[in-house]
Amino acid sequence: MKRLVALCLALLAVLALAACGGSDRSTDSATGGGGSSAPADDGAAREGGTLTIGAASGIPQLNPVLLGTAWEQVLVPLLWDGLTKLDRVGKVEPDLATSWRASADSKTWTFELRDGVRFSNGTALTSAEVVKALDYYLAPDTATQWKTALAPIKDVKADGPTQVVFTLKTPNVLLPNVLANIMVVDVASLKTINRDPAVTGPYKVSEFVPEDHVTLVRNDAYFGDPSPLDEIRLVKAADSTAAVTSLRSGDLDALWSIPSSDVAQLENDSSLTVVKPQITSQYVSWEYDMTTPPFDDVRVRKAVAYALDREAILKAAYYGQGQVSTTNTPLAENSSFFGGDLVEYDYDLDKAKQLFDAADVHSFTWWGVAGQYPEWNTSAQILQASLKKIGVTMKIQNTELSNWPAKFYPAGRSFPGLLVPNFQSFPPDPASQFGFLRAGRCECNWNNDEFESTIDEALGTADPGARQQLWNKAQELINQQVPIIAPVQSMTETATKRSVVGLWVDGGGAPHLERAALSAE
Amino acid sequence: MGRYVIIRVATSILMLVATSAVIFVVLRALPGDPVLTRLGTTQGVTPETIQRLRAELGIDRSVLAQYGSWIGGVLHGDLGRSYFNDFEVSSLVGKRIGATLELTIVSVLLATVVAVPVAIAASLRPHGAVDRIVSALSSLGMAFPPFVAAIFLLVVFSVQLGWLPARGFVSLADDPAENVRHLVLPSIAIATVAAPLVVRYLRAALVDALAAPFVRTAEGKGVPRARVVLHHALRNALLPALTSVGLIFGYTLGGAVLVEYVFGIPGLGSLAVESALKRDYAVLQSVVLLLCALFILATLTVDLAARGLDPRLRAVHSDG
Repeated sequence: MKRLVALCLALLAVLALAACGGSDRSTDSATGGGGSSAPADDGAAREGGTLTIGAASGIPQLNPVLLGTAWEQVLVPLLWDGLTKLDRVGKVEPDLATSWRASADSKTWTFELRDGVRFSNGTALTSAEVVKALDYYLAPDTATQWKTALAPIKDVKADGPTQVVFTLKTPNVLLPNVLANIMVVDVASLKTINRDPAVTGPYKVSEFVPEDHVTLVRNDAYFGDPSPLDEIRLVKAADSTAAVTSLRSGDLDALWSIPSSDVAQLENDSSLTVVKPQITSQYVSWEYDMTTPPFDDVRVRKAVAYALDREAILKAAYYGQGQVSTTNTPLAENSSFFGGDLVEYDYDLDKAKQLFDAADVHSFTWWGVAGQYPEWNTSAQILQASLKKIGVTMKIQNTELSNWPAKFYPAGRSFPGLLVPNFQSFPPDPASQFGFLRAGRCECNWNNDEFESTIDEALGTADPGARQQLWNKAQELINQQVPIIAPVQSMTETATKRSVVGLWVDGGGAPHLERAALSAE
Repeated sequence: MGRYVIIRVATSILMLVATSAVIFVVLRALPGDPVLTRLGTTQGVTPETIQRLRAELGIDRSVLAQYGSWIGGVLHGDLGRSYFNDFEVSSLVGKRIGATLELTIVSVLLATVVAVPVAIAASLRPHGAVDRIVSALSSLGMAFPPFVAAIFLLVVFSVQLGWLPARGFVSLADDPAENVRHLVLPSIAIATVAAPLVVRYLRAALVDALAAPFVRTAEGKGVPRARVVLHHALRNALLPALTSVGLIFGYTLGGAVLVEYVFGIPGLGSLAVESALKRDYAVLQSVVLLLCALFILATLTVDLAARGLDPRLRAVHSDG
């Protein structure tokens, strides 16, 4: 009995110890004001420390070429470099390449490499390594999301140890923008990339437990300014509710992709800052097969566009986090590339009914995902209710994420009568945004000669004004042909403690931690 | 005894083989495609590439061929590789099994430490006030899903009071104090459900023991009540209750799966849930088999230990 009592007392002591140990965590309601839509301030940073950022999803693998989820994107600028990179407003800057030049016809590009760069395993970065990395991207068996962006490349060759020459099939004045997304990996060490990746970025991996956490430490061999933090931990929470709980309880310094329903509440929390992209380049895309009935008829596509209460969807499904796309085009209206003579698809059930009746279409099916994206289901219910008012039936079918793509993916598949919700996240330039709609890329199976030639012409046009005219024309074609339904441009926000400085979020919603630090306070 | 051990071990092995087949078939019957999950609607991928990726993972073969290949590997200590990151499953399991085992063991110990005095108190006066209260509370505890207890504890002690961490795990070797802090809430969540089971088994065994002739004899000889209860009755009641520990271990292991998920503990439970969502069969089938093997092993160990310690059980089986 004495032993039992002793054990109980020991347990109580452990609980007390645990409670005391936790008292260092506090919520400082005296600091700061409400949440902010501006990037966290860069000032008053201190050197060192560990920053823990969480998300409701895990990181399954580390190879930047094979990125499959948006959350993996956060690792890319921390570990790797491209020949170029994009700044906060999407402007191209040097990275592994210090300069570049194009031939007069924009079909041959030469990049001059930075001197003295080494991977973390000691391998020197030469033009030969860059060529191998590009060849890996271009290999038919490499399933990379950048395949279509790189499609214009005919070949990549080394010219001496520091020059890389790209030969293109068609002129492309925006190749440096494209290459900002292409990370130079050490192909020779790909087999160990998930255990001990050879990197060139400001951080390197010290521990990786797939789907749970990645711990990064400062890469002392980095060619740029040393990173402010000693360590960054990227951790997974069970779900978005648990993730927000962890942020509020102080276990996380930052949380990526806060649920839209929590944004207002977190903005009002004086201990937190909500960081939003300056220009959003994410949009919701509902796709259908344009090659089979009923969506091969432009009247039906327009009817859906008119039957859409975009304001209601933005408010109810996205809690106002984003903006409506009345012209049904990918670019946000505050994008400097937005333009053209565009029709506005205001919520008009009479027009929608006329178009549905003219095409003799009275039903179709929504093919969504159960559980994972509640905003999709809310959007579907809003559309379903609108359609019901005009005698059109939309059946809502939701399935598991692992089962969902089988009906419509990859591009080229026929999926008659299905409306498939999805979302797109690209760099903010129109080439990337519109590239998704090119033949053979979008699951919508759009193949429009005029659109294809307009995009090709734009990519080969050096004069920005003339190029913008072509982007406008491309937007007019999207606006008229309605290859997808784009109800809203949404945004992915990151919430941080007030003590986090220097973190910013790009248009695609990825948080940038390259210069993130903890404040001196 | 030797024959009993051989039969018991052989039965356990057969159960494990049958379990492996059931796991394999059930997982393959689920809709979903690991290759499509992995690609996540990546553009520019052709049907040929998808087919090649399926062939690379071996999931284009018949279910029987896949099962044969998996079980052959298991027998050689090769659990396969994850479809998503090429990590060996044994490596992924190795990174996570420590947290699960520690959580399970601590939870069982905590449940036992709480349950023993409660069961004693309840058994001293069967159907008395204390017994009825304990019975009601233990029924409530058993009906309480561990993840609900986990969420309740998390909201109160992490979010409201801020005493303990809401997520994560620190290994004992890295930082013993942080290890304890991270295990307090999850282990209480599991023990909340496991303790009532121990109480029920132990209380029933104690009531029987306290009514046994040897207890009356001891009391007649003037042995103090406390000594009769703890030294005579409890010692005899623990052996029958011991057989329930295997069952409770399995139950606790199951509870740990969900509790790990709620508290973001990188254990086998989280690994199983993640693998199931992504259809990473290679990982999922091996993790589930391992959890089943742990359960079967725990039951086997407890059965053999009980038989070794309790001469009455040996007598029953030798008679039979």
